[in-house]
Amino acid sequence: MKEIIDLMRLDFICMKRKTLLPLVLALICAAATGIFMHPVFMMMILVFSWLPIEALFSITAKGNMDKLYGMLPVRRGRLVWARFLLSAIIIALATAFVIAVAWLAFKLNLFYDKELILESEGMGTFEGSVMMASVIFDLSCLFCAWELTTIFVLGMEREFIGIVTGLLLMFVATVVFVEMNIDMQSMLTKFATGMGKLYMKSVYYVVVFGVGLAIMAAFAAISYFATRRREI
Amino acid sequence: MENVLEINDLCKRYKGFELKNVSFTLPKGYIMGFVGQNGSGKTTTIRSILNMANINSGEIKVLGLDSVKDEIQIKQRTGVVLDSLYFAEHLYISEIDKMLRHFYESWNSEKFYTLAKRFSLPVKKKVGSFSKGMKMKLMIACALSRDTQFLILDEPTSGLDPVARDELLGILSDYIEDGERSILFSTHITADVEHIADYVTVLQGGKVWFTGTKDELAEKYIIIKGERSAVSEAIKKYSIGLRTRATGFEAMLDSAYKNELPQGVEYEKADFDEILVYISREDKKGDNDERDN
Repeated sequence: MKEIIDLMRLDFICMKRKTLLPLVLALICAAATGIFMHPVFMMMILVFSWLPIEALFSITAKGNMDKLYGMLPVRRGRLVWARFLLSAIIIALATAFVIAVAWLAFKLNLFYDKELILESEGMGTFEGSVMMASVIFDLSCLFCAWELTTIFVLGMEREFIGIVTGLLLMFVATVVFVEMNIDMQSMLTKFATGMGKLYMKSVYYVVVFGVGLAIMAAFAAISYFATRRREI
Repeated sequence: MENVLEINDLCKRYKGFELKNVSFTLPKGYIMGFVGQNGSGKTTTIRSILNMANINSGEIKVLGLDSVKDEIQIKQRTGVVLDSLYFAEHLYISEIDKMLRHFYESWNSEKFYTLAKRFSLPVKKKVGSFSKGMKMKLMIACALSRDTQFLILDEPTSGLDPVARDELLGILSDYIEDGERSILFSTHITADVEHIADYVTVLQGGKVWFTGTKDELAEKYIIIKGERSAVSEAIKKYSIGLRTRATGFEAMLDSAYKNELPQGVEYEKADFDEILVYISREDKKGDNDERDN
């Protein structure tokens, strides 16, 4: 585990100055959207919250850092776990951020169009926002895991395959979702009002967040086994 | 004599290239020049030593440890300097210290900054803006900021100006001063080998042509020249890189045969550049013969 933590620290130092400013700007925009418009709108940031990791791949590839990783006293394949774990942490922090902003938004009640919030019913509550964030957390994990696996298995030069197929998958999933005619709004309303019991909520969140983490772990394992004997 | 590096029958195959039974040893306390033209297999050998390449067969021992099983221990005790910088260009020296210090048990930040100062590396500049010589010194500072017993350098002097090369060779001489540490450095610049190495291994076409002390290599080969009519069957058989022209011939020969040369054939000691050139010629001739067959 120490090797993985050390690699995560190295990666973090490597990417922080390059990604900090865009990240802060994105968070400010997302927070403003959540507080003044609707918390659901800022959830979009969650889907792409792992993009700093993709930037990290570019930075390290450009700096020939694969040679450094090969020279460090760590076993091959540890980098795969380190990158997936760092991504999961970033997505989790982004989720915590949007939940915190949603809580603040409903406390302050500074929404520009208050009618819109009232019409949103379930999604217009803090509870509904948390549930929405938990679902998007899973989507973000899936998209991120897909992209990271593409980069690890096919190489950085073919990362566009991951992005294109990932977006395509999300598009197909959205179409299927719409075709299935699921009323997300009323579903969330039922969740928000019906899940009064604490243990029910706990089970729900454990399952939903667990699914996201399981997706990350499964794709990390695929990437690890596909690359562990690869030469540097 | 204790060996820092032992390579026995190393084979590594790639499409279109292979290392063929590479074997050599480097005793503790010495510098070995690992010489060969571009594409001769020097970098593949170094990558195999560091377990960055999966070897097909053979055995590599570094500091008495197995290069595959004991990879982590070896990397803790070995410093590596490559021909190009392996850090992202936007980083500062302080960030490199923070990045590396957790990986190495013996990493000494104070020593790192002292070396950076000694090498005149600017701490407030991004490493991407460093000159080639400064980048090389930075990698050496990283390698020397911990307790290493073995330093591997892959083409460290290529692209350096004469002053920077001289400085680098001075640093390497200081490194082995106590007799406890050793250096393997690959290069195609033979002047560096003549300047600093105690041992030399010549690699060409994926196989070892010579391994031994620098003095042995200097004595091993002679360049022979003469009239074209003087090319005997024995010369054709034993010479290396024979080239005949209308006016005469030239070739390299093992100095053991120098007393058997026919009359009219002149000889002189081969320098390192000539040795490389004739070996390369012979290797190409061998490839052509193989193709013809």
